[in-house]
Amino acid sequence: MLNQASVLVAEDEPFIALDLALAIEDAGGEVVGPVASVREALVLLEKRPVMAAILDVDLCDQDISPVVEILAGLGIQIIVQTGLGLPPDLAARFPDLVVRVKPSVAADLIAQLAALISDHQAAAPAADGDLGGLA
Amino acid sequence: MWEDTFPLRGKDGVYRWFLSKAEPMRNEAGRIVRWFGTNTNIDQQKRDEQQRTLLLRELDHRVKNLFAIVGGMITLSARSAATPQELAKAVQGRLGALASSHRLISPRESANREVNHGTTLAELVRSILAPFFDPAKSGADTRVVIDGPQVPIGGDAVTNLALILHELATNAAKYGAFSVASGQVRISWTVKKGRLALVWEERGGPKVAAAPKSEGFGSLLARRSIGGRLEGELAFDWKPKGLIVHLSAPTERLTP
Repeated sequence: MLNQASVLVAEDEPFIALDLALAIEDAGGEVVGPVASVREALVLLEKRPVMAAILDVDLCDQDISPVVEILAGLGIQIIVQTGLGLPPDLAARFPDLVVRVKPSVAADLIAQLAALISDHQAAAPAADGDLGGLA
Repeated sequence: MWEDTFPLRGKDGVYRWFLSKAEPMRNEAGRIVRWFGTNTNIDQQKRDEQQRTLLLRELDHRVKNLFAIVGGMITLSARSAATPQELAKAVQGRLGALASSHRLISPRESANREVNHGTTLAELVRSILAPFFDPAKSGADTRVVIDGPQVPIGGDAVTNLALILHELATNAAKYGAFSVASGQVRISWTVKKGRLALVWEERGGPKVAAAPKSEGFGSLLARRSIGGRLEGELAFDWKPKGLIVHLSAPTERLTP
């Protein structure tokens, strides 16, 4: 379903992170992470381009905003997961962000992400291969 | 009766919330001749109210998160369970570890009315390994030996450490020192240069032939639990006499 798409997982709860990671592998995707902090996410993104991301809002060092900024700027497909809702400034700056309220079933989340990726690819057929390299 | 609440500025320049109430006094013709009223300082109530709203929000967040954690726990546990009974046992065990950590850090008032949110590493180890403690045994006969200085732990670190200890204990009960009556686990730790170094040492269990070919789900989970928030490390050393696990983490990550 994910056709080897690389998916960044940012989630600081071990159970949720592992559940997502294994579900992404089941769906034929490649997991980048999981990371538990914004700091780790930024380090990893320097090294590896990703095609999509599933992000928890509150990571262990700060909220996810810096990661969303980078990924959204590159046109990468993002699903944000949250228990509380988005921080107001993030919601205001990225009104189109796909937000899911916890708890969600990992498989549903990944099906939605796969749909986002394929819609995006259909809309922008020129961007083949390297979608969202940071280099 | 007129009534409103608003902040008023005091002599010291600080605004405080007041509740103002006023009752008009009328003459025979029904005209208002004066107002009779009170101003009540409700600053503390106002702050308590805000505090309550914050707490409720935090609680709401935690409950939602807990549902998400349990959801993940169930699908994850199903991956390595061969039967429904095995799944139930695995989920119960993991939920039990979460509940133990919650019990240890739930706010409680101590004798001097200070609210205590934390616990110690020894208390946590004892709580998670309680099923393997035999109060009738002591000394060389005991199945669990705990040895280390007092290390305060609190907040999310308690949950993460509880899960790690639980996974190690579950593994020991299935394949290691807790799978036979004579087996023993020694858990010892030191703190040096702001870093906790804990050693989980199994002996007296079945002989360990070699490291498992693939990383088990429990150790995967344990590794995730130490790596994220705790910024720690976990290393497995499969010695013939028994598994030795080295856990280390900066002590500053062990309290909120």
